[in-house]
Amino acid sequence: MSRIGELGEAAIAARLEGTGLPLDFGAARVRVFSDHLPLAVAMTQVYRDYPVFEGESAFTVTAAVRRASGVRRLLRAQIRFVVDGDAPFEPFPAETHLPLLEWGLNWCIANRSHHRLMLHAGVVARDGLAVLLPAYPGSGKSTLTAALMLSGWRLLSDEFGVLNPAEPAVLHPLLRPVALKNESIDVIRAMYPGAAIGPAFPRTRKGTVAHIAPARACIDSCHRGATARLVVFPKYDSSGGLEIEPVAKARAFVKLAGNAFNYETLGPQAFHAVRAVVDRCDCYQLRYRRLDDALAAINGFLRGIAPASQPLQPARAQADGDSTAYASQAGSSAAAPASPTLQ
Amino acid sequence: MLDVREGGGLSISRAAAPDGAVGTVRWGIRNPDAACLAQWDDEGVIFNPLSWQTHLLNEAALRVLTEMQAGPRTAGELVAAVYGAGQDDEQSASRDIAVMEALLNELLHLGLVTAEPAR
Repeated sequence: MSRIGELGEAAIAARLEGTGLPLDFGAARVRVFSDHLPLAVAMTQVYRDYPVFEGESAFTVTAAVRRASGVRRLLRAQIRFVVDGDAPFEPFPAETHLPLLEWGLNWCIANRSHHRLMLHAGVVARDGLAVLLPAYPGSGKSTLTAALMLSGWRLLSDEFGVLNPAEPAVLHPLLRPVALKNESIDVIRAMYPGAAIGPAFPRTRKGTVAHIAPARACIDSCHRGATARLVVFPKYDSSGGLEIEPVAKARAFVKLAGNAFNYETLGPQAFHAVRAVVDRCDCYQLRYRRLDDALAAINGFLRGIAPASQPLQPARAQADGDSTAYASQAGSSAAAPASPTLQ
Repeated sequence: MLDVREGGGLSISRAAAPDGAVGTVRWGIRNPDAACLAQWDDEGVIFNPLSWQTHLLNEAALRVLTEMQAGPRTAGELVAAVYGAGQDDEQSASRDIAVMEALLNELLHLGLVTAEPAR
């Protein structure tokens, strides 16, 4: 099985221009086309460990990033995100190719996955147990999710908590590169010098954006679910220390459901899916300034949960091994910098 | 957009029985077979299958809705079921009924319950 990084930029560019580049994220499969060579270069970096699968497949999304052809391209090179022949967004500057692809794919996946409940959350797992990190503005969700992966947790998703209503409380991977923004890029770089961070894209609509390549072990486990066991609502606070407070389950329900992409679309199915998660999970709010304090707290939460005292059904037969290859690479600095303003 | 509102507080303002209600009214869950209710400790949530909205409920609203799952009740029956036996004096009992009716009217406004004249 070849990996994208092994094929190299020229081969990836040829695939993007020819039959398309298929990518398997676990709960979604996409096929990407592009005539914009810089995208091939960036994708070769941040998708380096994704396998190139051959043969026929059904795709959740077939999308393209194309060079724009209007008059404005004479003033400034632009690109478009095209899906099913339609360009749902305004053109982007040509140099922001990978952010456009990532946002476009997320948008398509969120809008085409109504057979599942799509929570808006980062998800990591260890020993078959999943931790949900719901996304709220200023939460630092992506930074924390990235740091957990780089500390040895298995990353399921930086963006989507995917629940199949037929499998209560089992979270399914939808594994994409983790998008870091602004100061958090340097924070992660400093804490984890071995992290595979792709090119930085300045002056996007969200500031500077860079993407972390998921660990190979996470990619190879992208069809293995994990049982929800912990919900942590993170909140970055530059002025305070570490504060941990339990969140009442009904309140946690409201926060999870209210932040889902398609709760109202699924209605009662979504209600029961969220209920199953809340039933099984301890729920906390975690206010933090230092990223390593937050990591220690989340590790502590899971250590404090004794699976033997509260038996849980493993999500799948292979419920172990939720540690990533990054653990040995991640050189955590002794004095981790305080997290910057995130989001 | 999910509309999650906290419903059923006992601190809400007093309200009369629903318009047109004369005499005793029986209150019941609207569409009880399809409503989804979950409770943890002294709070809960309910999904209204008609409005497609989910509401956060306090303990009083939860107890009222749980009681109604067995069938429609009058405000007096709900007061007795939720708060125990009747009050010692008529003034207190009347006040409890009024508070319960205010709660029931809020649930009615949310489309969670129905109010029918008792037969």
